[in-house]
Amino acid sequence: MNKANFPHQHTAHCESGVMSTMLKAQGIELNEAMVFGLAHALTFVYLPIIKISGMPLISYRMPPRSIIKNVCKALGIKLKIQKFSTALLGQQALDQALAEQKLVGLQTSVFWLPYFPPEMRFHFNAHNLLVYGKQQHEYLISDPVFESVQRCNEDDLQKARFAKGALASKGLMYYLDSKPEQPPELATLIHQAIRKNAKQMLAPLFFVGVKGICSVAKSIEKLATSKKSEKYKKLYLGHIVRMQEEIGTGGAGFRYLYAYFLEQAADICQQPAYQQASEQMTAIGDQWRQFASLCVKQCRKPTEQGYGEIAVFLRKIAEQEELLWRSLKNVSN
Amino acid sequence: MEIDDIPQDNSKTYHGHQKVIYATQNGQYQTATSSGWQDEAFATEQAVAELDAQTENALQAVKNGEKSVIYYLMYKYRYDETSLAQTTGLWKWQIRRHFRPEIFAKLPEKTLAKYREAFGCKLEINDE
Repeated sequence: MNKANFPHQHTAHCESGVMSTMLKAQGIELNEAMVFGLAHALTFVYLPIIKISGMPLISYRMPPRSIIKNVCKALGIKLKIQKFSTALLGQQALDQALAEQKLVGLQTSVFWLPYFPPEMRFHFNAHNLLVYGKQQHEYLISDPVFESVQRCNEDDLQKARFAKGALASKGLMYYLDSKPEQPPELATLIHQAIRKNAKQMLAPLFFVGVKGICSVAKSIEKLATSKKSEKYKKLYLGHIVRMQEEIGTGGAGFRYLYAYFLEQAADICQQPAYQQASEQMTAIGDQWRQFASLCVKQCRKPTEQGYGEIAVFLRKIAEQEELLWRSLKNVSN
Repeated sequence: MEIDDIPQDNSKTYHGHQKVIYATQNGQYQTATSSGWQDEAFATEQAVAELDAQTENALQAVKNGEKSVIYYLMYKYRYDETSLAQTTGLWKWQIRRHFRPEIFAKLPEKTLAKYREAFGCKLEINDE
């Protein structure tokens, strides 16, 4: 790695960003949106039983590591992935890989990375970043959610890599082992990825995809008559907004990112229907943003009918998504 | 969303950082950045304010001798009973028990070390 002018990329989402930068370093020009789309990473999951700080789990993308794995699988690239039983072994392996000029991806906790602003530091153990070098006791870090490269002291990075708890990474590190022998058949891969994503979004389960969105709408509707405190209701709506905008980066719970992928897909596959779908997805993304504004409005000035109105708005989004994913499923077949 | 419509609300929660957001210009997607969005900032600040209030309450409870310092540090370092249990490898009922000052006072060094590792600090009130 040329340390002086490392081609750092500032991206919306950490995992797709890390993967894109890694692939580009190998001469495979795929931007973040392409990586995200090829990994069929868009989803919607609502698991009321699993609580995060007392709030139900809501996610707008596939679980951690699935982007890395799915992209490599699709492109036929071998990825070397390692976990470690002790922190010391983890550090030795990282230093060794860096000495071999490798560009190394790590899964870390957000909480222990000193360069994160305090409000963003919480116990999320599945953040992804790249290490491209080491100087004395500091690692040179390309963290995709920051504009510029960062530095992190050895001890702090060790703590972030080996933080315990849910999704604990056990020092997980990965780097690309080989280049694909032939340039990837992108058009075929894109069709496959869109088909898989449509299937995910249309799954016949109440907590996934379009049905999951409807379940959340129902849960919001119920708040109007719920015995929960006003404070809980506000925090619940705020939680949905945070999962969509703050955690589900890329804007509108990744809708803009996916729309960007569809736009590129239209060009690569010579399929105008994807361009149309991209425009529809953008419009749906805009509505997700309006939905977030409605939630915040309700937090600021709660009204009794407000919950019902938000639920109706969200159901409309779900309906449009269902239509869009059905047409995408047909086109990609 | 059009690039020109991206909110640039200079949110405090961004600490001067920019966030990447994809938006269109003349119908084509481009990479752009945002300095913040007030609706998103509201949700973040609301959540942080709630955590801060819980931390403050916990601090008072510790100072009043109702709870052990673990109770305060749990909030201060953004844990809840579930995540603290996962991190320390203790059971939730054990942690709840350790919230009692008289039980905490008798904890063996081995257990204290687990808490110290989870919090990354000494087990004392450090309200700076």
